[in-house]
Amino acid sequence: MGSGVPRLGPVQRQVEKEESASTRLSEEDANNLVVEHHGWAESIARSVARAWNLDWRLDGLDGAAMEALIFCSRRFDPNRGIPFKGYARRRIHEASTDAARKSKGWARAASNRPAAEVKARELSVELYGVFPELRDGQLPVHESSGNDDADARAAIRELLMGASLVATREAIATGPLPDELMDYKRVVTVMASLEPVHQWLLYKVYWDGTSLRNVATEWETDGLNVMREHKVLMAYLQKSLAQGKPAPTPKVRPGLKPLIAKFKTTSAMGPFTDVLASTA
Amino acid sequence: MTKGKDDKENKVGKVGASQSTKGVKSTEAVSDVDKVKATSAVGRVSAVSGVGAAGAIGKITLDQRDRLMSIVSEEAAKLAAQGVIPHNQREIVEQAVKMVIDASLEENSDEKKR
Repeated sequence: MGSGVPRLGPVQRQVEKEESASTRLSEEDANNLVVEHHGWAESIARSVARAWNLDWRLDGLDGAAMEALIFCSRRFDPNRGIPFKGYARRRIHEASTDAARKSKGWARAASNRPAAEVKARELSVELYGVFPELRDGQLPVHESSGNDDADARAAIRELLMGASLVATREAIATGPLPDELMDYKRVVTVMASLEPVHQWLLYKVYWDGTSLRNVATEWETDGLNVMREHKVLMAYLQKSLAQGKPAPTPKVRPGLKPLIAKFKTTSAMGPFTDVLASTA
Repeated sequence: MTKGKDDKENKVGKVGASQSTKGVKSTEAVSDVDKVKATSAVGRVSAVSGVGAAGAIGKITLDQRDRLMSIVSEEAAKLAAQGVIPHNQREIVEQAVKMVIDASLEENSDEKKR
C-alpha cells in the first residue's frame, strides 16, 4: 500500500493485459492501410450523407471518416484475425453519423424540411442504437433461413416494428395527441400482457436503446437466446396488434428462465404493466 | 494336537514347470509404399444459390438499394393495413427505415465515384 501503483479492477486489468499483448502495425504499414482504404471510408461517408440529404464534404463527413480511418489504422491488431474493414467499418460509420448530426446541414434541415422528414431522421439515428449491425452494412438477420429474400423481408419488418416502438416511446414521453393516445395505449397493453422478463427485454431495447447483444451481455446469457426470444416477441406483437387483442403469450425459453426469479425480486409485474397501472 | 486329514489338504502340491514361451516373430521388411496419386482437377464450382436481396448474413450493398426500398414500402403498407403500425406513424417510420438502410449501404467498389 502507498507504493504509488494504482490498484486496477478486473476489467481494467483485462484491458491492460490485452493492450500489452496486442501487436500494432508499424507506422508505415498503418499509413499503407489508410492509403488503401481511404476511398472505402469516403464511400461510407457518402452513404450517410445521401441518406440524410447532406453534402458529405461541406458538412464535414469526409474529415470525420478520414479521422476515424487513421485512428483505426493505428489501433488495428492484425494478429486478432479480424479483417481491417470488419474492424474499422462501425467506427467510421459512427464518426460519419456523429459529424452529420453536428453539421450545419442537419440544423438547417430541422427548420426548412417537412416535419415528418425531420422526425424520421431523428428516429433513424435511434435505430442504430437498437440495431448496431446496420453500421456494419448488414440487416438484422441473426440466423439465415436459407431464403435470403425472406430473411431480408423479415429483417425489414423487424426494423419497421422497432421504429414504431421507438416512435411510440417518443410520443408517450412528449405527450401524445388525444387521437393518438388510444393507438399507443393499445401497444402498451399488448406488451403489458407479457411475462416480466419479456417486458424487460422490450423495455431495454426500445425504451433504453440497448442493443440485443448488450442486453445479452448485461444478463450474462448467450446472445442467441436473446435474439431468438426477441424474434418471438416481435411475432407476438405483430399478431396481437393485427387481431386487436393480446395473442397467447409466449413462454420464456429455458436459456432465460434463470432471469425469471431475478425480475420477480425487482419488479413483480414488469415495466409496461407498471405504466398501465400508474395511468389507470 | 493331531495331524490328520486337514494338514494333508493344506499342503502345496507339486509345482509344474511353466510352458516355454514361443519366440517373438521377427518383423518383415516394409513392402513398397504406393506413390501418392495425383489429385484430379477440381470440377466446376457451382454458384451459391439463393443469394437474393440480403446476400450472405444480411449484407446489403448499393446495388440492392431500389429493391430494398421497395420492400420497405411494401412491408410498411402491410403492417399499417394490419394495424400493427399506427396510421399516424406510418410515414415517419417508413422514411426512418429507408434512411437507416440507405446510410448503411456499401458501395461494391472502393474507388467508385471518386
